[in-house]
Parts: sequence; structure tokens; C-alpha cells
Amino acid sequence: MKNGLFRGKRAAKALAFVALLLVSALMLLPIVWGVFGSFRDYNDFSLYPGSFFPSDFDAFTLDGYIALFSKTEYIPNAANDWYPIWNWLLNSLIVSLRGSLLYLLVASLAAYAFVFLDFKYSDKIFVFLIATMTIPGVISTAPQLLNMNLLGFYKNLMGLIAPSMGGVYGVFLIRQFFLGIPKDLIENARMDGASNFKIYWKIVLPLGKSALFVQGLFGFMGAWNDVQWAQLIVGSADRSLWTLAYGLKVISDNSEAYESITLSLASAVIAMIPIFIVYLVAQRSIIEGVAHAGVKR
Amino acid sequence: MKEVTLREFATREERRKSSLFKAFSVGGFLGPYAICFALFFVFPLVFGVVMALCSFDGKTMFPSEFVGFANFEAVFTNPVLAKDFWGSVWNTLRFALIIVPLSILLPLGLALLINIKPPGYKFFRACIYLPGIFPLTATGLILLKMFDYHYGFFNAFFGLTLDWFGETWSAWLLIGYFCLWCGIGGNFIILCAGLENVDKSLYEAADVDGCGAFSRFLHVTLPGIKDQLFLCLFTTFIGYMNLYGQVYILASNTPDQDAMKSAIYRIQDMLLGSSKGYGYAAAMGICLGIIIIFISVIELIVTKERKGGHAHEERFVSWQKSR
Repeated sequence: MKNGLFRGKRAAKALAFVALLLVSALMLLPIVWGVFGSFRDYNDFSLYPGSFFPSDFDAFTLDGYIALFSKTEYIPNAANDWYPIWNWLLNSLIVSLRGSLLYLLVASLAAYAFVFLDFKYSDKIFVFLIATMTIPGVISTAPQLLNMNLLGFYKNLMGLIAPSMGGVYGVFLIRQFFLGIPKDLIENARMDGASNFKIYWKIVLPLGKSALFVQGLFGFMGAWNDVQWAQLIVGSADRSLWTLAYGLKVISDNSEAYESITLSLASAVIAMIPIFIVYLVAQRSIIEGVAHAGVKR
Repeated sequence: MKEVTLREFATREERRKSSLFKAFSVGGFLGPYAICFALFFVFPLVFGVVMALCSFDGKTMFPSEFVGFANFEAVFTNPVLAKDFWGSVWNTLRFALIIVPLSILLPLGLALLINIKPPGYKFFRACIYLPGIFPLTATGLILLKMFDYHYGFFNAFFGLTLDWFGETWSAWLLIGYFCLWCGIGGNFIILCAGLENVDKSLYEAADVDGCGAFSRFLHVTLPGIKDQLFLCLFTTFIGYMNLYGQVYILASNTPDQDAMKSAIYRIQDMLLGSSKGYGYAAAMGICLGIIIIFISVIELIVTKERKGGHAHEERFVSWQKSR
């Protein structure tokens, strides 16, 4: 009986292994095709479109990347259409890094106030903040655009950073973590005459590192991947102000000609690399962060 | 006597000073966020209502005249505007109705497989989550090329001659595939964590009671991950009511645009055009927001725990005891 159960369990594991292998392969398939395609000569695409990998070794080329990073004419008939990809990369980095770090600072200060400075109505204010999370964001899309214009952030990278500063979720996440820090620690530090800012900077922030890291990662990825808001804020501005995620859409719009396939796949790969590096480094924190959001509520 | 009053005075003074100090430090810590929250969350929300009640002259980005509910009236009765907007809302709702169950059931199935913990399950988990971390424009661009009519891998490999992005139905099919490919990661991880946290002793108890695999799933697993399922239901539904990026990337060249536009797509179009449309866009935003809230409340009522069974059980126990 026990042996049979054991055997059944092993069979289930083997079956699950095969199924997951297939699903993972399906999930990765388009990405692998895209990465190989970005190194593949466009003539090879038109001659052997049904081949998953470049059909022979000569079909490998770096032309797509070279054309993307230089002003070289790649597509004969679209000589004027070059893409300031360095600007886009830099803009995306500025927006993602500055946005996520600024928000971390602002949100962790607020979370500190909610947890360690027991002021009047702090609980009620916090409940109110949580309640505002149920308001659908669509309502404020149009007015936020005018708000950015009012503040002079329209057609400006600040317009991509500012709206996320008012977010509630990060404060909630960081507060949850701060609640786990023993109050005695803070009280002792206070007795020793440490100021609130010193306690925040020297004790609470180092202890809350992991929560801050997770929130920072989500902030970074959200800002890097955003297309909709970028289209509204910088889409009508000069090309050099675009972010990479938005620029890609325009590359794909311009890539009707089959000669441009290598270049457009190369641009997609360039946009994926930074996020992929973040994922490689912090895969565990990211997955735990998502799981945490679902379980501890 | 005098000493006491001095002490009292001193403590009172100290307290007053410390409370002032406290207010100061609360202001210092909460202040920056409070300003951001007011400026980038509360103000747009209030201003949105104002915008929806104003008309715009198209010369500046700011409201020119107060017109009351005229914008809402137009959204409901203007032949072109109403048809465009409600058609797009219908497109979005129809799509959400299909994609939301799939975006919960598919990751649930995968999470159950992960929960068996075959060798390398952590690697598989990371692989399944991977596509969702990339910018939609990058993954979408790859799909566009893979399903290209002339030179795409898919058509050539399977010998098809289908213009995937030219037909309405196949474009929606690919949008659905895109949403599943890049959108199930979050739900998948949440459900994995939920399954991990189900009390193991319940499974043993079910085994002892001779439960089959299916009834064990129905009576132990599902109730155990109820919270996660509800969370996924709400966030996924709201997410797909806000569908934009996937359609914008894959279907902006599909001939029948009316059949492809999602509600957010319409609003985005309005906002990208002349400011004459801003009042309508704000009104549409409020309409869509109300629809989202309305359906969420319905979901909340439907999925709410039925206390009835337990209440009867408790009353039955107390009634038995009292006899």
C-alpha cells in the first residue's frame, strides 16, 4: 500500500515535470526566436521564414544592432528615420531609477511616521489611504495630464516620475514590513537620545532593506515598461525625449518593410536586457514579493 | 510646596514642548508624502470631475467654459461619440469575460503542477513568470514579427496563409494569447504561494478519510486558496477593464478599428487629439470608473462568504447543549 502510494507520487512528479517543461518551453519560445532573430540577416528571414534559428552560420549578423546604435542607413528608403536609442535608454533609466528611488524615500518616511510616531488619527488616516486604492485610476488619467501641464511637467521626464509619487501601495507594503520591527529597539534608541531621523536612517531603513528592495524593483519595472502614460506625456515631444518602451512602438510601426525585421527585433532585445539583468539578480526577491502581496493581506 | 509646582511646571512645559516637537517631526516625516498624495492623487481626482463638467475650446489644454452635464449627455446620446465609446466598452467587457477566467484557471493549473514539486520546479516557476517582466512593446514586437503575414515564423512553419492582424477575430485571438503569455505571471506566483500555505495536515486528514484526488481538491485545496483566488479575480478584472497596451501594440493597424478599440484606447485617443475632446475624455473616464466599481461590487457580493451554514451549525450546537 505504502509502496504503491510512493510510486503514485513519483509518477505524478514525472508527469508534472514533463508538463511544466512543455509549458516553460512554450513561454520562452517567442523570446528565444526574437533573440536569435535579432542576429539574423533579413534575407534569411525572407528565404527561410519557417526556420526557427538562422538557417546557416553565414546568416548571423550584427547589422541590426549596428544600425540601431549608429546613424547608419539600414533601410534604403527610410534614410531619415533613425532612432536616438541612446537617448531612449538614458531616459528610461532616469525615469525608472529616479522615480523608484524618490518614491522609496517619500514612502518610507511616511511609513515610519505611521508606525513609529503614534500621532493622533494615524490609524484613521491610514485606513483612508487604503480605501482610496479602490478608486479606479481611469478617472484621473485625463486630469493628471492637465495637472502635469499645470506643473510644467508636460513633455518633460518629470511628468513620467511625478504621478507615481502619490501611490499608496508602496506605503502600505513598507508599513507592513516596519510593523515587524520590534518597538523596544526604537524605544531604546530614543532613550539614548537618538533623534527620529537618526533612528529612521540608522535603524529602520537598514532593517527594512528587503521590503524597500522589493518595492524599488516593482517601481523600476513599472516605470521601465510603461507605454500608456509615456505616450501621453512625451509622445508628442521631440523623439530624443521618448522612453525606450514607447520608442519601440514607433519602431514597430515603421517596420512594415521586411528589411527592418532584424533591426526591430534588435530593439526589442535591447529593451529587454536591463529588465532581464534585474530579474537574474533579484529573481527570488521579485517572486517572493509578488507571493507576499498575495498571501499576507 | 514650591518645589512641587516647579516640577509640575517643568513637566508641563516639557510635555508641551515635546508635543510641539512631535507635531513637527510628524510633519517632517509625513509631509513629503502628504504633499505628493494631495498633488498627484487627490487633486487630479477632484479636477477630473471639474473637467467632465467643462468644455474645452481646443486652443489651450485648460477648460474654457462650465457646461454642466453636457459632456455626459454627449457620451450617452451623441450618435458618433456614444457609439464609439459604448462600443469600445462592450469590446472590453466581452474580452474581459473570456480572458479573466482563463487568466485565473490557467495559472491555477500551473500552480498545482508546481505544487507537486517535481525536480527543477523553481526553475520552471521562474520561466513561467519571465515573459511578464518585459515591456509589452518588446514582447509585442516579437509577436508582431512572429505572426507576420509574409515572413512570420508561424505562418511559414504551419503552412498557413492567414493575415493574423488583418482580421478582427484573429487579432483578438492573438491579443488573448498575448495577455495570457505575458499576463498570467502575477496570478501564477500568488496562487503558488497560496497552495504552499495550505495546511498540510488537512491533506493528511483527507487521505485518512479516503478522499479521492478530485474531492480533496474541491474540499481542501480550493477553500485553502480562496483568498488568493478572490484577490486574483479582482485585480485581473480591473486590469483587463484597463486593457490598452496589448491592443495598441498588436492591433493598431487592423482595418476594422471600431471592433478593436478598448475603452481605454478610446479615451487615450481623445487625450492624444485636440483638447476639444478632453471634457468627453474625463466624462468617459468617470463612466468607465463607475462601471468598474459597479462590477467589482457585484463580484464582492457574489463571492462573499455565505455565513448561513455556519450560523445554523452554531445554533444547532447551542440548541443541543441547552437540551
